[in-house]
Amino acid sequence: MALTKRQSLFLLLICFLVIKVQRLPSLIATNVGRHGWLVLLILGGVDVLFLLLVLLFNKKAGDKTTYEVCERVGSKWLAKIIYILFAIYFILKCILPYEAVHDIFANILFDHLSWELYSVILAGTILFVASRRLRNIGRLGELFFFFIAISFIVLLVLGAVTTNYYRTLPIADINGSEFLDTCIHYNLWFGDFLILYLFIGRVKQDDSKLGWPIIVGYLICVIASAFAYIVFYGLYEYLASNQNSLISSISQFSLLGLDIGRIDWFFVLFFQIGTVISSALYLFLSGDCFKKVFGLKKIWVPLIILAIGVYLADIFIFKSVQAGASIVANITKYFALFMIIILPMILFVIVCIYNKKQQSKRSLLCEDFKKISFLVKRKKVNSSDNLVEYQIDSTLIKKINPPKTNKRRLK
Amino acid sequence: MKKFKKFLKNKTWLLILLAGLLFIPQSFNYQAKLNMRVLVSGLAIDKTDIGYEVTAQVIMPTPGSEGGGTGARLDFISEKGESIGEGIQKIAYKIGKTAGLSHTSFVMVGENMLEDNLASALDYFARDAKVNPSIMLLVCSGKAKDMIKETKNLELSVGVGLQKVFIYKQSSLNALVIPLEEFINDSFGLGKSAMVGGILIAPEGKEQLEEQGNSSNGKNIAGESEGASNDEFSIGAGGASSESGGQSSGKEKNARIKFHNDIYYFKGGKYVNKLTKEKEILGAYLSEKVSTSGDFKINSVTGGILQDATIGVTFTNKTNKIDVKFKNGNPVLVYNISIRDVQIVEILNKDKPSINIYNKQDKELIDIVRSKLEEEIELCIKSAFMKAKIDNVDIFNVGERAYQLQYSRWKKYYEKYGENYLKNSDIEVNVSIRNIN
Repeated sequence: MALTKRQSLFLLLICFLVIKVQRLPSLIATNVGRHGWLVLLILGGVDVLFLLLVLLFNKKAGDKTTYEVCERVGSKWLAKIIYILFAIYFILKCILPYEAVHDIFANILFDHLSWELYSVILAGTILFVASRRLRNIGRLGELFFFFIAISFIVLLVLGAVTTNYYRTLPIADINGSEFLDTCIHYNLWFGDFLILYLFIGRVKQDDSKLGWPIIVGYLICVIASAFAYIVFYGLYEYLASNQNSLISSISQFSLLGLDIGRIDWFFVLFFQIGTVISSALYLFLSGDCFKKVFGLKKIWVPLIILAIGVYLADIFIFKSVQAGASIVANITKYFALFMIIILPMILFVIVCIYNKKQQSKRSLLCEDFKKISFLVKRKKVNSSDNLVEYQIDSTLIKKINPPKTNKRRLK
Repeated sequence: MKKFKKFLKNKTWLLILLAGLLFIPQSFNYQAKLNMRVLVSGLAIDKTDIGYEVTAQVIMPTPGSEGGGTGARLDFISEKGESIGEGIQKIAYKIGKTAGLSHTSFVMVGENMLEDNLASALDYFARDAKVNPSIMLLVCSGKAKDMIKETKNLELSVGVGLQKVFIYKQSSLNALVIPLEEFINDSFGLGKSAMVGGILIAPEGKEQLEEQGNSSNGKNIAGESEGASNDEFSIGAGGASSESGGQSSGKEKNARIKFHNDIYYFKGGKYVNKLTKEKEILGAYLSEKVSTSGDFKINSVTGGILQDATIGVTFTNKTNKIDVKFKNGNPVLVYNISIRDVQIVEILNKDKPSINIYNKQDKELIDIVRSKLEEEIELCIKSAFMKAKIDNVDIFNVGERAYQLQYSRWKKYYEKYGENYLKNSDIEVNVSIRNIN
């Protein structure tokens, strides 16, 4: 098994946070201004709802991966189509944290940075991390999660004590159509829960629970990101759309009196570790999907091609970060909407069918078992060796009703 | 040790990448090197015939500073351009080094900049990602170029960290720090009204605005005929042109920042008038949430043992809460000011000396001081509000707050009065003091 439950939870939360609190608030502020926090709250809420579907899928799938479930219900082709969709979606998601790093380093942190050159190193880093497989990405997430979370909390508190909350009022004058349009436009920045589909069947079964911690953690992150937007907009109001990154600008007003400079930059840079991890995770997941679809033995080939693709997309599309994000959002909005809302529903139907099939198989096996046990009993009457009979009996029961043990160990 | 070696062997990739990430941006181009950079710590902008004149207060690392020395050089470089951006670019070109604007902490504008729309003129600073919108905006009496050069006559830490000094002054009821973003946001908000603090740096005893204004104007004419100029002033140990071991370069640092600077108010980015009287200025300071402590003087206090007394108090833990209510259909901004601790620091009881004034428990004395102080604070805030109200400038954002806190009632009111909403708006100040002495 590749991941522990704790690691998968941390990876999910890292992915959610780093995408929501960097470039997105500035983009949303351009469209809906003070009501942007509602966009984060509503789309985050939609995420939580569909996260429940993923958890149900996980419960019904047993120890099978999403690919195996799709393969058994439909055919190989159904699984391949769904995995191609995942691959495209995840590579698009990979670009979002990547271009957030681009913005921080090339536009904010350094005056004169040759981004074409520096980007090679960044692409190399995420390629390297992605090539270490899910187990190591999970460990990386577990290792840095608290650094990232503490950095975010510190920056949020620094911003929260200096912001002007009045600027996010009133709520009543909301422009409904523009609000809805913004929700649809920037939905690619949401739907991080979809990574769980690729974790299913790869998570080590232990005594800890995955369901409630994920929902509670996700909800906390949704509320935290909405609050971060309130703080951000309260600080910049009409100029919020000009501030490309929330995380680097949220603490700007709080440490002006310090003689030693902006120590908050340390926290901003710690937070960027999460950006690299999430970008690498999305790259890996996309590469893994392509590997499955094309039946490749090694993941290196798709990973290298995808990393080059991310590099080129960043160089050419995100030459202007603001315009680039808008282009990507415009092209992908309906696809992302399909992935966040329709695909989980389709997958839920698939897993229900799979479950039903399994149940009918199980009932058939039970009938077979009755016949065999009858034979065994008869054997038992004739045979004096009880031990052999017991072993056969126990194996049959295990096959009918598999216990919750490690799959490999079972083999 | 073996494990460590194994780790290094296996993770060489990672180490190379991390080293690249850390060091490459610093070393790829020569502009990134410390001695090729110059930090712009402040800017002064004046209007000229062709556009703008930008003067930068820059800190240049001296050759010794890269090798561990502590020297730095403070320069003033001026350039003219059709736009502010052009002026700044010319400055960077003129220096021959990379000019870092991310350390800019203040922008001063000359009074001649107030002829046009200031919010529009400062557009460059709102857009450029290199300039923090948190930079402090100040209006100078006379020419900003002359005023910024006066910072050389302040102590270095004051001259360079002018924003820090003003933040400290603001928290102790002695300055108004308006960040650039606040000025621009207020200028484009519902009330379109904004305030900006003034600054006057002058030799000790000459902190009179009029005098400075006249002398600055005289300098303006001479300065303009000279065109771009470069005035250098060296400080610090180890600097190439500084005196060894000394802070001073021979000139006496006798400049002082004026105690209560004027406050300029704007409508839609355009200058309207300024608060000049002490009470009005204090009113503006008191309305700010961040001014949490300070010294206050109450004149002509009579009652009990006090006879036309002047009382000095120090207060701490002041908090402001803002609310809006509608009275007869008109918006009223309610300032609830709460002061936790007040300490009487001085009583000048002119014609009636009494030993009882030292009695900290004298209830009558304390009640008189309390009511007088509450009255004075109310008067200060109201006088500032009323002066700006006459000019139809909503300096305390009554309209904006009513819109934010009482949306439906405000909507009806605004439909009726529109841009002239301030006419029927009012302000209410409730002061409560918890502890005296």
